Amino acid sequence: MKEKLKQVSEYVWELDKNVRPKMRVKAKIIASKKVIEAIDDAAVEQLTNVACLPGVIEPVVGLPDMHWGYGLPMGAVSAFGAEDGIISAGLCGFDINCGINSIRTNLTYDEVKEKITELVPALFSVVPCGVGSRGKLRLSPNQLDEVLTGGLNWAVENGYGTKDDMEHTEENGCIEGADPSKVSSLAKRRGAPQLGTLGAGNHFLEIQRVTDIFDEETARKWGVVDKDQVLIMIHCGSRGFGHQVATDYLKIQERAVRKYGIWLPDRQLACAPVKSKEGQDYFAAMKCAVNYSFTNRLVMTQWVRETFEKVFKRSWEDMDMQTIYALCHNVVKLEEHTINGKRRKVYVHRKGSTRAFPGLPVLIAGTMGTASYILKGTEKAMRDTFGSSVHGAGRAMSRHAAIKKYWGEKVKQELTQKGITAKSTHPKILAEEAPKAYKDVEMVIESIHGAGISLKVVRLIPMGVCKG
Amino acid sequence: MGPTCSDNNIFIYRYSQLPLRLAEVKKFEFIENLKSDVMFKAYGKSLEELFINAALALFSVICQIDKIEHQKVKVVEVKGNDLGDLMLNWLQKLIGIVDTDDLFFSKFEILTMEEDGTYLEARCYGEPVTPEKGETVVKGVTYYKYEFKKAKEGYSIRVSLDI
Repeated sequence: MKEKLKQVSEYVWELDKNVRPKMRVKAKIIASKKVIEAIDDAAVEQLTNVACLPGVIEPVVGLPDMHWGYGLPMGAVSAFGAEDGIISAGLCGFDINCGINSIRTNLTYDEVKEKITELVPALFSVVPCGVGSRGKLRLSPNQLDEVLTGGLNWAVENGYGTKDDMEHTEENGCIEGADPSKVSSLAKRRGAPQLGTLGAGNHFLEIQRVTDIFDEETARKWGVVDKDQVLIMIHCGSRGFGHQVATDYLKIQERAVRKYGIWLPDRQLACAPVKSKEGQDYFAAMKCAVNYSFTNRLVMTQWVRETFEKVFKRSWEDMDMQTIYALCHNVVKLEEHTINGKRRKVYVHRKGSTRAFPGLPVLIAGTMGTASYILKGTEKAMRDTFGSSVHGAGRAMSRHAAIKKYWGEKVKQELTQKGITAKSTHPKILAEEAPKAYKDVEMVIESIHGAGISLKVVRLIPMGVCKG
Repeated sequence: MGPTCSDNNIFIYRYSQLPLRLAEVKKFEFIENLKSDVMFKAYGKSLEELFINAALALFSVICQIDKIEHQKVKVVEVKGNDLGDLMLNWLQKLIGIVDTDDLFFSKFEILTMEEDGTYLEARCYGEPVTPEKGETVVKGVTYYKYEFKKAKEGYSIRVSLDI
């Protein structure tokens, strides 16, 4: 399929809708030539699958971090008409509101480096990591429902974070329309003990050092003023709660596909018409997972603050540990966009894709050995990518292949040589997440900055990492 | 159909130990497929064996299955529309139990198996979750290249997991 890509400008590639039968619209990839060469052909083909779905709006967009995923590549965005489109549990994926929080400090690299061997194990012990990890919170069914409907309102009312954190979170940390009655009791039973846990896989808690500031004015507005300033990044999602919501609705929507006679090129793209019960019920349940995940990350943020207080013997307010921004990169949102000159409501499905609205922060996670970035969204993103950008470096090889190729202890050694203190529940997770298993994040960032869908503000490198 | 016992301690492979030299009797194997996170095939001369071996494959991804002792027992019931559906529901149910009951499993017995795929009852043996014995979180069972096959000599399935 890659050979059918037509380069239309330095960073834009298109696939005509006649490259295969049943495509309703064009697909487009934002990437430099070098990135295109590294992208898996099967991932490109997946974009054309999505272009076959009912009510899809031109174009289906692949981003430069795209890599093969179930149904749709990770690093892709697609929009569907609010009248004639579909909502898809498959397109959103299993980890609903997997996302990132970035927290600043006014501590310097030298101050933190001195304490890093104390700080990383302390954080590791306070933020539960790994398979089946359970949090310190014990929520009653009513309290869980409050989390699902109230999101960060619940967190702040219960002493986790502040109103300021809410103001610096996508949707102010509470997406409207979440309905716990649309969530299975199994999802709730899985979710209740896991609030305030990191999980495993590519999720992490990272202490980072600012290496470059590209846009001083914007950075200052977000509280980043110096090179060598220390920031914290938390990357995780809605845990077993979101996984179960996705599992439940994949099944429901699979039946809906047959019921409404929708032709699917891939069974994993299970979906339902936007106005159907199967579509709207999923949307309301998915929103519960969105709120759960915002809360999950803020609860852990507060524990991180308390840990810094113990280690540095200062209050977190005094260390200016404020949320720069918190956002999701696996989500379905009802948004208004300009389509062919007209304002239209559309269901935007971002899978491994970050919202990049003009002026707002875009948080991009690198790997444990390479840089992460904070960028800002642009008007161009509104025109070209439904206000969306990348979410990370994007895997270059599967987790399975990485485990075979790398050895956890060696990865840890290499990180130590780079001055990065890493702690994980077991060494294998470090192999699975070895920096070399990912694409070069710098290449990905160059593509989005070059294409103008997000502009570089701050570059960060890791100092300390906690992994499930 | 009566209960089927199986000694689950032989021919169990952790997926980190690939490539494997498979023994004559294969319970399951992981498939090299760069596009999917984890894909495995499981085999069984009978339906009972197939369902047991698929569960063993799943838990060898979730935890260090060879270190999990049989301290706790959980009886699980699963319903399905057909055998293929029942298998997906079985695996999904087990993924959920890791979170709800805080257990890793390493041994399974099928107590009842309806051959039309409408119902199964199983006894699962394991121990409480400890992160040190965990391997990775399985987010879900996908439909990607899912296959449930009946052959002359038994059954096989191919499953991809999102991890």
